Amino acid sequence: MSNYVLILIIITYLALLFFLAYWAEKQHKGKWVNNPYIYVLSLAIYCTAWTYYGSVGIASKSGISFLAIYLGPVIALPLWIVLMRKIIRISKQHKISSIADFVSLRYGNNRLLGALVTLACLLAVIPYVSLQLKAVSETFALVSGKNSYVSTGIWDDSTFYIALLIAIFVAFFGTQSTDASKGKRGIMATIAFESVLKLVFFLLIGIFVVYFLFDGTADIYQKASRTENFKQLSSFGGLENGFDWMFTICLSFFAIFLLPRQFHVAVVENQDVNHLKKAIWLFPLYLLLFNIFVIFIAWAGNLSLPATVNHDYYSLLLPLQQGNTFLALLVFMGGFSAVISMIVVSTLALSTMVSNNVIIPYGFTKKLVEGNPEENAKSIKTIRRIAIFLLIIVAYFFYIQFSNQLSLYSIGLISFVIIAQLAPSFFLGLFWRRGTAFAAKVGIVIGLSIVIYTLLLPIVAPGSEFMEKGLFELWWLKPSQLFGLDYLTPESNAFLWSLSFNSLAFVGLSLLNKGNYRERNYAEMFVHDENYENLQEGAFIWKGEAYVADIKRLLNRFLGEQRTQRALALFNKKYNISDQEEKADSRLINFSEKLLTGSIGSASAKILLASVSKEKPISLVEVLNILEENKETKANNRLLIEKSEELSQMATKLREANEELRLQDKLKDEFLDTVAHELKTPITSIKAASEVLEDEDMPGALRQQFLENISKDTDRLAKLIHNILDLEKLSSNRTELDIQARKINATITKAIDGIEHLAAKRGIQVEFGASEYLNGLYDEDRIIQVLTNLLSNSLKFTDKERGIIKILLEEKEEEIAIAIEDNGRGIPMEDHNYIFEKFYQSKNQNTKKPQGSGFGLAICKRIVESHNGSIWADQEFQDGARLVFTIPKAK
Amino acid sequence: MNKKILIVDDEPSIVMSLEYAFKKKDFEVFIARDGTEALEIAAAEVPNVILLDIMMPKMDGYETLKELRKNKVLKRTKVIFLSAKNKLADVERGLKLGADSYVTKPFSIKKVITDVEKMIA
Amino acid sequence: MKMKKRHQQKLVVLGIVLFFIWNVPFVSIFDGDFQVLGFPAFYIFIFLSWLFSIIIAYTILKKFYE
Repeated sequence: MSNYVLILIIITYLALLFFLAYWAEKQHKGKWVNNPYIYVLSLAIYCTAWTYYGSVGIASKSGISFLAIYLGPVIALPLWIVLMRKIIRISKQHKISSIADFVSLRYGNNRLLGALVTLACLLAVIPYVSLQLKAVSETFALVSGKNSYVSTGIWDDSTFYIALLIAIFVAFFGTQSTDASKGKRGIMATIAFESVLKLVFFLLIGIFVVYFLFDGTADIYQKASRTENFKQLSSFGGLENGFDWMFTICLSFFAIFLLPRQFHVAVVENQDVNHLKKAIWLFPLYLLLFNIFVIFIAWAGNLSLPATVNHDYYSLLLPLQQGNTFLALLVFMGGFSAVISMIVVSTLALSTMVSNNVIIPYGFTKKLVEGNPEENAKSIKTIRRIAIFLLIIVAYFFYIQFSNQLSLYSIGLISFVIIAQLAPSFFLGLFWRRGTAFAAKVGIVIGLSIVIYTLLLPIVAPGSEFMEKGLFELWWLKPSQLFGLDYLTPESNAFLWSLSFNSLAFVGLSLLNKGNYRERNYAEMFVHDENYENLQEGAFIWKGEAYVADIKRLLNRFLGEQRTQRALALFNKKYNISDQEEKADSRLINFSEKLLTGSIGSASAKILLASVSKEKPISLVEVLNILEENKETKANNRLLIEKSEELSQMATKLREANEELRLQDKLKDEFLDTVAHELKTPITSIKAASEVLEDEDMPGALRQQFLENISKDTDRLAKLIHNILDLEKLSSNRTELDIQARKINATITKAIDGIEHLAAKRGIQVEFGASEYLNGLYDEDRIIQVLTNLLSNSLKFTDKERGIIKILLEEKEEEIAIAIEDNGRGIPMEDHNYIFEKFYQSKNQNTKKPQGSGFGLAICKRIVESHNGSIWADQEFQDGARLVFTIPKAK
Repeated sequence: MNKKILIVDDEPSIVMSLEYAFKKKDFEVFIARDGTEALEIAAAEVPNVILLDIMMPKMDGYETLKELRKNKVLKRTKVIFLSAKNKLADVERGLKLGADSYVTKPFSIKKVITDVEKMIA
Repeated sequence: MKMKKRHQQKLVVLGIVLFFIWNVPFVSIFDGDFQVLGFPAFYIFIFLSWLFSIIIAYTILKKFYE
């Protein structure tokens, strides 16, 4: 394929990425850009050209060791539920924008430590980026057909231009906002897209090799097993290999946390802690898919390709050998995607670190304090952009200088060993409060020195005398076999010794010397982050003098007047501080520090705030006491809130109970009114009649009539009183029931007989189809009372001459249901729940003549319930009223 | 002059006693069982006095009084409430509506007659 | 959304178990001579335990992360 066509394709692809980034940036809130899958795919930035090409190279030459690079992360991911959650929570709380910020903040916002971490990252990442460039340039040469690619100078080297294009891409999308802790959705979207591409294309080549070039995996195995050294490629090997294997797993375990680009995608770009729920299982799955075909591509390459070619590029050479340029192009694009995403995020993360942790705190703070907000934003962006270009250019020269002598795999591992030096201060710092800034710095310096001596020197100065014999001709100082351990690979050797001394120095020095109060303060905040989450700004202890006006002026320079105003207004509201307050307290200092950290890094933020305030040192004991106090106050406040909530709940309940009582009271009043009225009517009648009877001239027949009236009204009175007493007796369960098995049909017939003449008088029909002789268990007199009551209600509420009353029986499993239906005016909806209350009379009966005394149904209810049955009005019955009650069935 | 009285109550035995007593005093007595009936008879006969029960089916005493007062001819007719409702609020409500007197049940017939006679004297 | 400490610890234990079974001496148990579908014994062990750990993590998260 022609050189120019390939370049055209690359440019088109980059344009596509630009477009994608632009689109994603625009709709940064949309669910296409903001979901757990984007998060998982952005983690896949772990798979670089090293994975894409290097794994195959290792698998074809030395066997299993490529796998260890992925097993570390697979072990790490389940632990993320504790570790990464904690890291993300702390970082969001403090607006942390890089791993250097994270480490330096943990140790009291230490400027030198931040710079040191940045330096370690630079050492680790620049060779790593150059490794990516090496892969691009070599694969470019392979696909474009120039087998021996020799660049005659920078200007005709296409790799250089590709590197420049990448730099422009990062500079454009990576520095949109000065607040580096803010997400870069555009870049993350392209990363996710590229992660899909590289996996799909790698799987494609795997399938092509296994099923088109060969006859499946078993076939490759059969053929490969006949080659020499196959045993070494396909098995674990001896116990000594076990150490290399374990150290590599440890290296990759650390790398998934500590590599600047991994920290960036996993922590800084995390939009929602809950995305971890998907990441913890999905990311290992991604890695698994990436590794399935590696060994087969490697063996296939060993079988079909001459031994002279670069083993790393089997996946390109195999399709090329078959003349399948298209597939080779796809593989190339997959590898290219892996390269671009790695370089983009690495340089982005590194440029933030370089600007926030080195350049600004070591020289630019003065200038920034004097500048206005626009200028400051501009200079911060400029610093970052320059850093991006510088990084890529340095990486390019590193590639020109050293790439020939190193494989992809070894450069990658060197990076891992260097970055692992951050592990003691990073991981122990999360759980161990005692770790101090000084110990961290010494540990990292010692670790780096050992790595440089054992791993980097042999690369820079190969073949020099002390390489062979050791420094000062001391055999135990031989770089690649420190202390005479001769069975470890150079990387394992460097890892073992550097990390051992690093950890030892860190732990030992931390125990020897206490850190100052500020270190201890931040240590508390990191280690017990869940306790301080609620305290927020209150978790930071600070004593001294500072004026709000000064701090405001400082914030203005970086955030602009509007944002500062808004932020301070929010702050004052949150802590209930008057905006007339002149003196700043520790909360304001901490709040401003967080605001500034996003833009200029934590170390610079601290320096700037120190410049406008006079801090008084306080003792460690004091810090711890105040922290404890703050925690207690917070806890007490929470307790108070809980208590007052309980109280208000109780008040609500009381109010409800009161309402209920008042309703009962009202019902009782109404009932008494009704009873009084009912009693008064016959009394009035009797009194009037007896007055009239005083007249001696009254004719005999009329006198007789009046006397009869008196007698009738007396009966009515007696019955009324009887009912009231009856209800009272039933309510207090003082009645004895004569319960026996009886035929319900007979009982119903008796009840009908009782009201028959009344029904006949009103011309109302009573229907009862007694088809079955059911036996119930009940007190017959009482049930007749219920039936009579219900029937007389129906008589009352149906129209003369047109009324029909029906009695229906239904047999149920345990009981008999008796329904009394009529075609009268029915029961109003609002009354359904109350008609059985003893004091209840339908609302619209209030001043109209009440129908009955108001406790007929209440009596029925008591009777039915004392038989363990229930009584209700059927709400679905439309044509009148249907009242149903149940009584137990006789066995 | 012929004295006309209308008794409105749904309780037949009470009505019977009142009817007998007022006839004895030479009243012309009319009887209604409920509010609607009362309005019809009142409009036709224009009684001097109406004895009005409050708790009645169909139309209660209050409503009946309101309707009565709408009629020009019956506007000035004396109305006495007869009711078992003896709370002060009930009495006040009745008088506010324009009743001339409020007698609580149980009542003395003699006293009702004296009241009525005084009223139309 | 959160997860109880007890269930978080299940995932932590999963990580620790993976570390142990993927290192000597455990891993050398599976360093045999046989193969299935062209995958040597060692790879079968690694890939299967890998897949298994994914399924376990998925199940734990699905059940207890609420």
